[in-house]
Amino acid sequence: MEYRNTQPPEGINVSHTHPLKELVLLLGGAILIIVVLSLVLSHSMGYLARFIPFEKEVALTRDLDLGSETPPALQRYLDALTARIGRAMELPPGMRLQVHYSNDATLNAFSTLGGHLMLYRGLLEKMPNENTLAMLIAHEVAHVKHRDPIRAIGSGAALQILLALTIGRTNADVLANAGSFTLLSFTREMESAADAAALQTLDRLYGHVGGATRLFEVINKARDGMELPAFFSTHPLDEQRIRALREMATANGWPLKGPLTPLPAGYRGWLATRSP
Amino acid sequence: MLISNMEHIPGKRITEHLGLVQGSSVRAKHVGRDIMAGLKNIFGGELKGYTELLQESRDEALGRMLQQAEAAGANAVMNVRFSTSSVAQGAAEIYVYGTAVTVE
Amino acid sequence: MFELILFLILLVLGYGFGRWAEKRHYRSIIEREKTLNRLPAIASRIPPEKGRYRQTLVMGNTVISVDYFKRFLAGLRNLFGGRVTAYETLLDRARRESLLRMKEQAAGMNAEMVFNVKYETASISKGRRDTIGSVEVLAYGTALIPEPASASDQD
Repeated sequence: MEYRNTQPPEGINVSHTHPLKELVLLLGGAILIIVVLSLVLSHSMGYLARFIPFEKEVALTRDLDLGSETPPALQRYLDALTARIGRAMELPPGMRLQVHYSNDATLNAFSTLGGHLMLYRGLLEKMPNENTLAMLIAHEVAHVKHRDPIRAIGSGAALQILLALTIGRTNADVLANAGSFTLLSFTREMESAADAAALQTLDRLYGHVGGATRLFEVINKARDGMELPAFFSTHPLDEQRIRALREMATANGWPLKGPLTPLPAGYRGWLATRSP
Repeated sequence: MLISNMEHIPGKRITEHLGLVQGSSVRAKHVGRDIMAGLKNIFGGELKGYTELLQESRDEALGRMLQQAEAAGANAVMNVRFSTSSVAQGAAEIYVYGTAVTVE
Repeated sequence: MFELILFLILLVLGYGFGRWAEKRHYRSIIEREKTLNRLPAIASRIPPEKGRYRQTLVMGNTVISVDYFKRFLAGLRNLFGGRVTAYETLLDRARRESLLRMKEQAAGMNAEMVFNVKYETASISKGRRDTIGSVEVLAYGTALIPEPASASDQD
């Protein structure tokens, strides 16, 4: 009997696919699956979130502290204006709105769960007349009416769950993260829908939609040269929004011009007062 | 090609030992199967997906070993052994090795 | 964002260094296999009938880890199933390196051949997430060292 070693040829026990090629294929497939899944999930969650009763939202935000540094006169004025807007928008019964004001130079305004609206001094100072202010508030009220905050949180939570499942890394607990109520990001569709609802409300309140597009001009002008506030980043481009609003007004026969209601006499003074 | 896990091949005489030949295969099942297996772990029963997976792997590893044996000019592989190890989560390796020999 | 950048850097580093190390290792394996080819490693249990041999256990082991890039690739492969090519070279290298180390030990003892070679594979970080998969391969066998004719009368 003879004993000797033979040298087997290379590459029988290893495959010859290039690792980069495999990476591209696998990664492409994985990304496709994740994109499809997240689209389906976030859409269905966003859709289902609408059926969460509004009272639950209110209960969730009971402990939410948005500050109460509002001068009483301003609070009364904003409350009255918001109430008028709410009536004009035909909010469903039980949907209560609460306006908050922050004495801060931030150029921002947002709405969140439980019908809470937040307005910042930075943006309120730029308002040229009541019509424009009404457009701003109506836009935020429209978000509340369309249940956008809960939908955004719903799809956000869905995405986080999906991320946790696929990557295996959990950002602690999903709800705590979704609970950053003030940093909600709405989709462009939500923004456009809110614009449209706000415009209609403006026509109902004043009989014309004059001053509406001023809101975006103001934001656009103030934004020039300063960094983009995170809140506005998902808003459709201002020129497009203005054009879309004009087209909508003409299509519905809402007058584009009309007498503008001035802001109350003490308005600038209220904004300037230091909070008590 | 004769494959045997015995030392001797009855009725045949080994003329030459040609050293070790080996084949290996690492495979994974897609997550769907993993999820199904997770469910089966609750109810018990055969994990068909994994049985299949390991069988496919074993066939491939054997094929690769035979390829090596052919390249060595052998006509039989003796004293064949299988070994299974889980290299990483969800991926199992089947390894098979034996002595390539020529028999009369 | 920072995590993503870190991940990409690790991926690129893993790919570059992993490939470089693998090529270098393969070159060394092939070269040493050629020089040690004179020493047959046989998986049979029955030693040759002729000749007197002294016997010793010889072994060689290797622990090799897969690079970050390949681990990521294997993780992706887990999603779809199929052949995990990323781990193939890892195991191939570990086995051949272990066998070579065993043979080197045997060659150091002037052995003529190694009999009853067996492999043992263990995965060191099995089942742990976020760790790099590494395997240990142990090759062991019995080295047959020819006895000089004069010494054969003793023992």
